[in-house]
Amino acid sequence: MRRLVAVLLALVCGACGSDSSTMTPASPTPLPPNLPEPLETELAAIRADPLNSVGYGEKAFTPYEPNEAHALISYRDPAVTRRLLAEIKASEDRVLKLALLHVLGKRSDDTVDAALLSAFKDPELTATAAYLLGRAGFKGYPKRPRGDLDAIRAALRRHLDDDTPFDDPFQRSTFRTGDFALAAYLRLSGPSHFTFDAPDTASVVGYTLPNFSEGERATLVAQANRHR
Amino acid sequence: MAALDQLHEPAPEQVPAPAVAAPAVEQAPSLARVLALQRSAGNAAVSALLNRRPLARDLDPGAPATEAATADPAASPIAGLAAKAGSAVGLRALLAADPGLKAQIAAWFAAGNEDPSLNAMLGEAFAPVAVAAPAKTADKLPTDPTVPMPAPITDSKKLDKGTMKWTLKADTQSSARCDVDFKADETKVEAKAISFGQTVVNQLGQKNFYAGATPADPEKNKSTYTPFEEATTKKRMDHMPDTENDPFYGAEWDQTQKKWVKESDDYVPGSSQKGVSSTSAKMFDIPGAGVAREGLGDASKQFETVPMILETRQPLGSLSWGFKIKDEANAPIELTGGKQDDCVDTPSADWGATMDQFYVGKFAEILDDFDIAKSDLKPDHKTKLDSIVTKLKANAALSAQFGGAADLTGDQKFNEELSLKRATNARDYVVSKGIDAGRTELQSYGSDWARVEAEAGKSEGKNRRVQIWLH
Repeated sequence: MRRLVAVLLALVCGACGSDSSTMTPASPTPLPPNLPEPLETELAAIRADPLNSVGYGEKAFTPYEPNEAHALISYRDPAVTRRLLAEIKASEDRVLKLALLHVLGKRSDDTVDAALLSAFKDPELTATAAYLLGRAGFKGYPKRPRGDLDAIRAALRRHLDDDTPFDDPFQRSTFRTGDFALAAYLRLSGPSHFTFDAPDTASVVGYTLPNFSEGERATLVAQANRHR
Repeated sequence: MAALDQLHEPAPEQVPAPAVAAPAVEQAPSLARVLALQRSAGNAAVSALLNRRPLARDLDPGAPATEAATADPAASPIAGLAAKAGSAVGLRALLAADPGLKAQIAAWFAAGNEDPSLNAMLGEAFAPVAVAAPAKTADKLPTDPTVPMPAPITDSKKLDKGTMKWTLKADTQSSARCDVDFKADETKVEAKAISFGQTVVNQLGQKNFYAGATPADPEKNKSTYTPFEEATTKKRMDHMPDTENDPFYGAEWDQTQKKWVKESDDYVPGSSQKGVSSTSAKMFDIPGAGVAREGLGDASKQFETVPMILETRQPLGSLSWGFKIKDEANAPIELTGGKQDDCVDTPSADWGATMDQFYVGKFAEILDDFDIAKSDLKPDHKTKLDSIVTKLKANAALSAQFGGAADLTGDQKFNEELSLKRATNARDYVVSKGIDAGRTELQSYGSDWARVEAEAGKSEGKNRRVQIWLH
């Protein structure tokens, strides 16, 4: 039964996550921990219009640009990360969860990796969490203290063959979840350790949206599985 | 809606054409309601409903009860459906021939009936499709796959102060990649750090387009970026306003090492020791058009990439490049600039004004004209710092970075200490006014970051400064 529901939901909802702008009820009661007023205001703005709270970056290597979260990103207190994760776990709106995850992934405190790994376990969030785990320290993503990189890489490696489609509401495109895991794995392991079909790919893998050909994917997955 | 379409339109090579024309999504009210519910309440709510009660009745109280939900389960056509279909392909054919069947299946399972064979068959028939490559929506990329990409431009030019090499090419039909290498002429250039000051004008139709824009609001974040725009040309320095405190493309300040370092392995600051040797400064950029060919106007991005000495702000050359995409369904990406004539010794007249505007837009206050070799705050410095205190007290989410700098006179070690002392004095002043020191950060640039162009050995008051970034 669960599988059937999943299939039906995939059929019915798989391509529909892109238009939550007309809905998204505000959270009835704020979740703990409470944040300073400017941050609560930003959270409310994201809840009100999650789809438009993440726009395009100007660069191919910054495809996601949170719009309403300047303080949520820069405020140093790890309580913000805890609150964002709590909001993500409590929400039933897939687009809102993804929008908040993009905000969380741009933060710099030392609890971010653990929060992303927690989100990574949610199939709706796996692709985005993988992307964010892979891209600390470049163009808009701070060099945050990293968690256990071996554990992160191991988690990513388990999803290299994940064919689940990821319908990205912000990009209006569908990707393969495993491609995000693969790209993040290559980035965290060091792109110079791998051979790409196009040499330019090494400079941006894990930053740009994944776009592997079938042949390149197979080659890179094999390389990734050999790489420890 | 590709997945939903599969339910109505089996692949032609798998099954014969359906006897009944596939209905549009709007003609399936229960699924439309599911869609609406998912949007308003999320997947979990839909899942709960599917598990709890018959689909059609739950989603549309006015709808008649479905046969599957009311009749004897054994008598329902769904009970023998798996055997009748025989395979996943057969099931898809049956669903295509009888569009109403899908709602009956959903309601039948939701009513609590079990059929592992049918369940497995459904899973196989509608298994998630492996996506070989991003399936871009047709409105963003040309629908005609034969639309050609422009030929790459690879070229080089010897300039007065060094040699510029570049490759400009289409990265996709919506983005271009430019790799630039500048190697200073060591017979003419003395520079600790050479990087790039790149300006950008990013347009969609008649509007400027900014990072964070969405198709619904192409001018989203305009208020964030307009402070950086030069008034006449609307050029701005190409940087990340939320996370970067400098206008340089490819270099970032490392306060631990107290020097400019590369932003990534492929962004490399260069250097030049006059009469000895020089190393290349390297960068790449991949600007993209998130919105193009969607009825919002032609997309255009224009850049001027200027290699420059960071400690003097002296430009060493200029390369203009970019791309445009007409607002037509199958319009190809067109590269602009990047030719020999677009590489020149001197930047455009407005490049310097755009760089000046960066400092206006970036820093809440700049305390300048410190006395030579001194770090004492002047009365006008304290007035500006009082303004900083007011802003920090008004917004608990703000932090302040104090960046101290010295001019190009004097000993390097002395200037490092002097710039730190200037920043420290400014920070201590706001802390004395009640601001938590934990909300502040110190940086010290010595004489490695010039705000205005200056020659080595000459004093320049605007470079003897503390710049305060609130973020």
